[in-house]
This record gives sequence, C-alpha cells and structure tokens, in this order.
Amino acid sequence: MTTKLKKHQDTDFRPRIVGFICNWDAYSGLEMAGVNRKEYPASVTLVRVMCLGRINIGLILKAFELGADGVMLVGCPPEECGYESGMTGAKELFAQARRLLNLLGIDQRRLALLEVPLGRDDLWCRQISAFVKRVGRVGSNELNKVKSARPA
Amino acid sequence: MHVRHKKGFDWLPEIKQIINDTRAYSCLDCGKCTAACPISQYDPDYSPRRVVSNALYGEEAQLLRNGQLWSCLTCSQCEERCQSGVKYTELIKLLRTEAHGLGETGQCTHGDALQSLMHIMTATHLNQNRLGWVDRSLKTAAQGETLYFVGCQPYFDVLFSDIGVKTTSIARGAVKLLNHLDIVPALLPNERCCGHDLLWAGDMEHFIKLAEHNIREIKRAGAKQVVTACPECYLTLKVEYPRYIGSLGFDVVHISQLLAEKVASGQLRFRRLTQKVTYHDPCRLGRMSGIFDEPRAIIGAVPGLELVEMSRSRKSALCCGTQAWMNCGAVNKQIQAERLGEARATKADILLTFCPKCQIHFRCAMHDSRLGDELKVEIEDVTSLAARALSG
Repeated sequence: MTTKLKKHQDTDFRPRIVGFICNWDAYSGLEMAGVNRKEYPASVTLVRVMCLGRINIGLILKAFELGADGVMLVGCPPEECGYESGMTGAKELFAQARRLLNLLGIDQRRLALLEVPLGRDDLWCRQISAFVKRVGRVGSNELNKVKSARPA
Repeated sequence: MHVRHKKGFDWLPEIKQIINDTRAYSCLDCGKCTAACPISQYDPDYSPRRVVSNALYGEEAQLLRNGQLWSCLTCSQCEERCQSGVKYTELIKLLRTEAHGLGETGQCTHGDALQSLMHIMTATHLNQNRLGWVDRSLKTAAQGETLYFVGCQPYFDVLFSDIGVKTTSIARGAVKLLNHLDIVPALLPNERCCGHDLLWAGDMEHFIKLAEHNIREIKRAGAKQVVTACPECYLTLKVEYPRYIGSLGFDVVHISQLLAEKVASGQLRFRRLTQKVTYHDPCRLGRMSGIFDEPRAIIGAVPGLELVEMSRSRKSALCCGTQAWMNCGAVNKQIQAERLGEARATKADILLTFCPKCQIHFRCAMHDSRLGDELKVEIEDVTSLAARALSG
C-alpha cells in the first residue's frame, strides 16, 4: 500500500481498481471463476481480508490517495457472515466513506459495496465487470487528473 | 547540563542546529518537565528530560528511532515549567521532522484516515463540497475583507458521527455571530486542512503544499483579516505559515479575540442563560497563544452564566490528551479521564472548550464502555454557546 499505483495512459483508459475482499463467501466466488475459467477484468487488484468488517475508512482513503480510480468492497450476504456483524459494519463504513468522498469532491461512483454468495462465480464476474465499466465511464481519479495536468 | 559525550563523538549537524534553536543546551537536568508531563505520569517509558538528554548526548538512535518521540502531546506544559527556557515543543517538532525524513512515523490512530485526508487535500484542483453546513439563515460571501477559515469540521462530523460529534455547529455559530456583528464573512469552497497535524508529525512536504494552497486561496478571496474558531488553525496560520512560507499579507485572529473585543465595546450582548459552566483551556489557544482572558470575558458577558474553574486551569490546564491523530492509547485515555474528572468535580452543567479537537477527544473518552458514566459531562464549544446566547 505504500507504492504508488502505476499511472495509466489517458488515451487508453483502463481504470485501476482496488478491491478488498472477504476471505470466505466472496473469495470463493473468485476461486470458482478461476476453476471454471471465467473471465473478468484484469484491472482489479485484490486485497484479501478475513472479514469485510475488518476494513477501516483509512484503507479506502489510502487507496484513493495512492491513485486508485475505484475501490470495491466485496463481502458476503449479511446472513452468512461467519463473524455475524461483518457486513453490518461494512455497510456503515461504506455509507461513511461515501460521505467523505462527497466532501472531498471525489465521485461517489468510484466506491462500491458488493455481495457475492458462496461459490457464485457468475455473480462475481457480472458485478465486477459492471463496476469496472462504471468506473471506466467516470474516468480517471480526480487526484490523478490533477497530477497529469501539472507537469512534474 | 554537562555534556559528557562519547569520545570522538560529534552531533549530526541537523541535531546540533536543533539543540541551538531550541536552547536545549541550557537544560539543567532538573526534571521538572518530566514531573509536569501528563504522559510521563502514566507512561514510565516516556520522559521529556530523557529526550533532551538524548539530544545532548548524541544518542541519535534513541532520539529519532524511538517510538516515544511520537507520544509527546506537544501541550507545552513542560515548557511552561522549564526554568531554563528550553523550547521543548519546538524541539519535538524539529526532531519529528528529522525522524520523518528517516522514514519514521508515529502510530496513526483511526487507520491513517486523517493522514490520508490531509494528503488528498494537497491535490491542486480538488473540487470539495465542504460548505454543506451553510444554511439559508447564514450570510456568507465568496469574496470579502473578512474571511472565516472553517477548518476540518465538515470532515470531523462524518468521521466521528458515531461518538456524536457535530463540530459544524461551531462553524454555523461562528458565522451567525459574525453576521450579528454585521460582518458577512467570505468562505473558501476549496479551503484545505491548515496542515497543523502534518507539521507536528514532521511531514513538512505536505504541510508546505497545504499552506501554500490556503494562502493563495485566501489572497484570491481578497481577505485582509482571517477569523478562525479553531486554535490549531489559528496557531498554524498566525505563527507557522509566516515562519515557513513568508509574510502573509493578511491578519489572523481567533474568534475569541474578535468577540471579546466586541463584548468590551458593548457591540455584543447576550441573553440570559442560567447555567453553571467550566472552561477547558486548549493548549494551542492558552499556553501556546496566550489567549486565556478572552474566552473568559465572553463567558462572563453572558448574564446568568456562572463560571467555575477546574482545579487546573489557564497555564496549568491539563491537555485533552491526544495530538496530531497519533499514538492514542490507554495512556491518553487516562489523561482524558483525569481531565473529565476535574470537570465533573466542579459540578458544572457544561464543560466549555474552544477547540473542536478537544471536544472530539473528550467525547471519545466518554464512550469508554468501562468508565462510561463516570466521565459523562455535557460539552460545548464557546462559539456555539455564544451563538446560542445571542439576543433576538
């Protein structure tokens, strides 16, 4: 998390996405996608965590600070959370992070909270592709734009 | 202190300069600093005297690589007691700048969120939506001679909503008071954090960026006078900006100074509020800026308000226990509990303070599940109180 994410070329915009993903149901969706050789966008850098409830606001902001164009929080259906309240915490965090992004003037569409049930590779691929497409439409991170607008 | 440095030893030139700049060489090793230090009281591993002696004996690793460097509250209580005039808080600030250069940092509380916010705010063309708190009853402008520098209150309210923090009420109160005095303050839609916490964490690079941006924006708004209701913004704009950036071309006042002046001239009158209050002096406003009387003059001008001082007030006031969103833990909680205990001992209805961060730290301490009810006391900012007490 300390190195800057690579700058993309504006002409061929491929959004850089950081995803925090729960080790349990959500990650199994990703694994199944691999097993079944399903395709999903390669511009997603995943950080596997033991529960989405473990994420804090600092991690989300840090991803944007380091130049991510989008951040997705990928968790499990709330009723299946192995720690009971992981997704409840994640939802509160998501709402808080959205409000902070709004204050900062960073497009709120750059942040998503997704749910992937156990082993559902189809849902994983569909949701991730939709999010990457959405961030692609929003464009480059507001902070990156500034940096590219100013010659180093 | 007699310097018995090791054979063949020489200081790093930077450390030598810091020792000279902060008069650390005149330390008599009396230990009053450590006796007065709120951290040392609860954490035997931390001692201001040891920091000074490590600097003088050239114990660089102990000095810069030791995590304790980041525990100091920079409350300047030690400086107040030091009879040799060692500028202790300045020493800590400069040493932290050196340590930061070596890649050292404190333990950032709140998962680094506030540090990230400050870093993000250094981006040049940010289009913030930070003025959502301005409601229709408030008169503000985009340009003007008097500018109200809000500070990070809109962000605090989101970050600390879980502990009931509503610091934008301070901002609303400040504008209401200014309007009452026939001042329509200019507000900056893209004001940045003043950089106080980055400066005190040794991150000079980002601090300078924030400072330059704020100065440029304030000048662009045509302001001759900047009013702020945050002691940290006040100290940073008033003292640190000219020091690191150069002359500002505008004047900086804390709202307490402005209000106290208007109270004295009879332009500001309050309605009756029958309550008993106590006042907590924030370090940046009290010890570091010498503003002790103005807040008390404002409180005294509200008819019916009875001010009871805590056992330690003015220059001896205990710090709210946390600094620069760093190294906050059990020790800090004990300091906060101690201070809240002092406030409760006065039997006051409200604990008044003049700093949004003091309020946040105290509110956080009050959410302790074990100490909980023993610490509960109503907290209000003097700005909000004064706005509440406006007649008509």
